[in-house]
Amino acid sequence: MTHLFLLFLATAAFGLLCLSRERHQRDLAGRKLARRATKYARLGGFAILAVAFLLAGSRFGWAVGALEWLGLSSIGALLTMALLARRSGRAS
Amino acid sequence: MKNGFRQSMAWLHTWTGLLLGWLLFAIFVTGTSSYFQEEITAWMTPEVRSVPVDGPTRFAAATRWLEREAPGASEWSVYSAGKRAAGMQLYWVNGPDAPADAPTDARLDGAGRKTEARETRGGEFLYRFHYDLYYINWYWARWIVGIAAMSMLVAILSGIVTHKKIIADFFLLRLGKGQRSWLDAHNASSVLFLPFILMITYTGLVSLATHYMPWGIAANYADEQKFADATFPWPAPAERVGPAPLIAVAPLVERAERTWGVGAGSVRILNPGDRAAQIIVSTAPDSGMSVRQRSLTFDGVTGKVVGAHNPSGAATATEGTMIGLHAGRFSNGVLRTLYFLSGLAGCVMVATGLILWTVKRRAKLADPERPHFGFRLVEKLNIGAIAGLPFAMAVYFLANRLLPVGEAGRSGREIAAFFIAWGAVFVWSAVRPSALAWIEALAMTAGAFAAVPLVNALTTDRSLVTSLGSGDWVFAGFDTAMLLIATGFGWAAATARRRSTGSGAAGGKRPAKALSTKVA
Repeated sequence: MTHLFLLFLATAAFGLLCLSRERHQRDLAGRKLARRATKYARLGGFAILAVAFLLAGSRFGWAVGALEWLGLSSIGALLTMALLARRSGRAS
Repeated sequence: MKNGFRQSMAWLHTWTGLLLGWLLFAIFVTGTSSYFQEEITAWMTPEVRSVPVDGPTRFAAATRWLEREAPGASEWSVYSAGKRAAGMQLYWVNGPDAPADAPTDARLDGAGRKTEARETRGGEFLYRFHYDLYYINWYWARWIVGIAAMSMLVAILSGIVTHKKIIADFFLLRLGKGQRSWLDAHNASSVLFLPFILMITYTGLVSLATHYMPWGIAANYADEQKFADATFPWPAPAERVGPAPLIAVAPLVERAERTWGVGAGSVRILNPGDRAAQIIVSTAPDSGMSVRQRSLTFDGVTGKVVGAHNPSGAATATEGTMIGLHAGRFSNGVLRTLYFLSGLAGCVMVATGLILWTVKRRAKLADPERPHFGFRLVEKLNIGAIAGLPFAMAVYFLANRLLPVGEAGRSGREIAAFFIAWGAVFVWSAVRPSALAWIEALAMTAGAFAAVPLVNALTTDRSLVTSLGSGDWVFAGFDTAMLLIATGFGWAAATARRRSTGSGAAGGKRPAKALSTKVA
């Protein structure tokens, strides 16, 4: 279960990081976000990644946990990219 | 100056990537499959049913078998690849009175019964191919693979410099836009999986570092044998002194496992049945992140600990951990899957890079109907490598099921089938127009992978339906993976076909969409 939760965290984190990019906001959120919201999205993204790292490390040990965190982060970023590609493909 | 630097890096990236790209693709694909080496071997020996048994009992059963079948041997050894292994591999050295052609090895299942499995190299062939190649001397093969890996490292680093907007384009994947899409897919697979790709290339070089740079050994040891003795001690059996019963093995294995806190992977018994007997118990290959194994040596009669080997020191630990990180033997199911998916991303990175070379140049061709020789060559080699190698792997699995089971030298024929199939795709791509050859080769690969579970169901009693029903996850997983790979290639073939019949200019190209779905 922790594995799935970590994947969810990684995807959510990269989703927020993606949302903090002005060029992607229209595709993901349907409109430009306010400057403050953009900032919070970026901070939130990094914070969730940090939390996921701590969770993985404390749950699986720092060696294996760090590896799993890296691997799941790649997958999370890929899922975010796939979502964005789908959305922007539909928009244009 | 900055622009000049970036341009020279782009040049370096293009040409190191292209020249060794085909070999790198083969190394990446076979290496990625090796994360499931034990599972592939289990699938390729359907006669062996894996029986979950705990370590000590398993080794005791193997020792009893050896006592019965090889009583006069001067040494016995029993190996298990760890928790995922279906059985145990036994070797022994016959005494002087045994006939010269007496057997010296056997495979047992977890319960200690001899298995009469079909002769195959299984997943080990793919694993060895990824650094020893085949048909050529391993010494030179490792140099070739090393040069490829070094080029890969150069291509990755120069690629990072060449890629102007790593952060800005981080999430960008534009589909259906020709060259742009290929570049996005190439960037996505390499940037998002950069930690893995850098790690795997660097640690791959480290794992053969003493092969590439033997001077460290030459400077510190009188000869290579002394280095080997210090790093991988391998004591020879001592002089025999007189018969004495061998102590029970299971309690010793248990004691060793308690001492380490991890499972045992091999037991070596010198002079069994003699007063000079010694029992060496070593840690399992999947017991820790470092590949350097620990061992305990026991007196074979009294059971007293007479020696211990604990590789220590920062350099040994670093090297062992780097190789361990590369091979991932320690990993659990989730981590193993992540390793595999990251490996696939590496394959996609190399494949899209190779295809990108042709896509970029197609637009600039003087006469697109009659491209120059170099362009045609790259195009054909791309088909032979990118569609051909996976096709060869599917044929390898099919040959495992279709060749007669009892035939002598059948493992060699499986491998011959692999290379004949691979060569056939090269020949096919050479004689057919490239756009058609892409579609046909991809479709053929899809068909071959789809046929694997089907032929398995027809030739064994362990079909996908049966294994799903009985919770046999190794077989069910293997068959399902074959179907997923077949779907990926089928999609690629269909998309390539749509492209070549649709917009004529984009003939024979797979759009990024089909590729990215294979990664996901």
